[in-house]
Amino acid sequence: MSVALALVPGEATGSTAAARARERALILAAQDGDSKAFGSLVRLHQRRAYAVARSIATTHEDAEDAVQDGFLHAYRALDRFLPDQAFGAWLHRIVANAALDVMRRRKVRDADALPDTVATRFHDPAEASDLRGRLRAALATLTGRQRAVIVLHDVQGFRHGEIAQALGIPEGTARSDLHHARMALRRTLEVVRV
Amino acid sequence: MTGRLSPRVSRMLREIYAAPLDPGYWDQLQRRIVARVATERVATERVGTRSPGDPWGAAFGAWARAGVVAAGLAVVCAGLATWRSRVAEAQATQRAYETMLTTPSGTVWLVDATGVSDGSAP
Repeated sequence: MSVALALVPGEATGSTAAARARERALILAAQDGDSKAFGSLVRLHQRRAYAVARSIATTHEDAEDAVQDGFLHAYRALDRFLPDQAFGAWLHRIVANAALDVMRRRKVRDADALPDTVATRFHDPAEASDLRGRLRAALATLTGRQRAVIVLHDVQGFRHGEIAQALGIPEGTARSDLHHARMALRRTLEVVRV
Repeated sequence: MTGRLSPRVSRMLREIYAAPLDPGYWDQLQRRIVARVATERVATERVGTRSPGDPWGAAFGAWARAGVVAAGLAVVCAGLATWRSRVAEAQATQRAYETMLTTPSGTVWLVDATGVSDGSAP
């Protein structure tokens, strides 16, 4: 009987021993070729994976592509994963790299398409006048990593250690990026307000 | 450490980066991912490479890769050895030819106008 059928798939519920044991069983079954077990792992982790991808990708569609690519890469590398490791951290790193790849491809596509299309982005004056527009403009001034860190921390509720693991940076760098991102957002929002 | 952003800005950030709320969306995303994985699995099984449920395939796939790499290296080494031996052979021939041209073939006796040698070696 498939392990996945014996368990009730749900969202990741934290680091309880029972949840870890369930996850470990799913990983072992998936490594043994049980596709339903892998499906259950997808169900457990897809929301957090989306959060990681969305913090790096600029659109929902790109984030969705990155999540799918990330899970596919994870599946290909599953036999190299040690079940006692933290699956979420391992997966988030893969998804983050997939999101960076999607963004690189997007840049190349946009650069190729530039001569045939309107080069400048349309700015809705109504949107620019409200806080959301100003916030989008302020976010655009951040580096990609600063934006990812502030979104993961302040929006998605990731801890510094989790952010550091997902983005492959030291924890101190994640803290410092968050500090600078907040400062830059405040500064830009204040300047636009004047 | 700088404190959190204002509640209004934080709320706006959450709106911009909000994940879809519809459970149907996540069901569909899960199905799409599993379908892609299944396609990948079928493709790898079809070409005889590894899949998680096929340890023999995994072992042979790894050996096949190692074999291809080893064969490639062997071809490169053989080519290199052939080339070096040809170069060495050509150099040896060239040296022998130059030696033949530059080395005197024997003793040359000095002969005066009368055709009588003084008897001394050059």
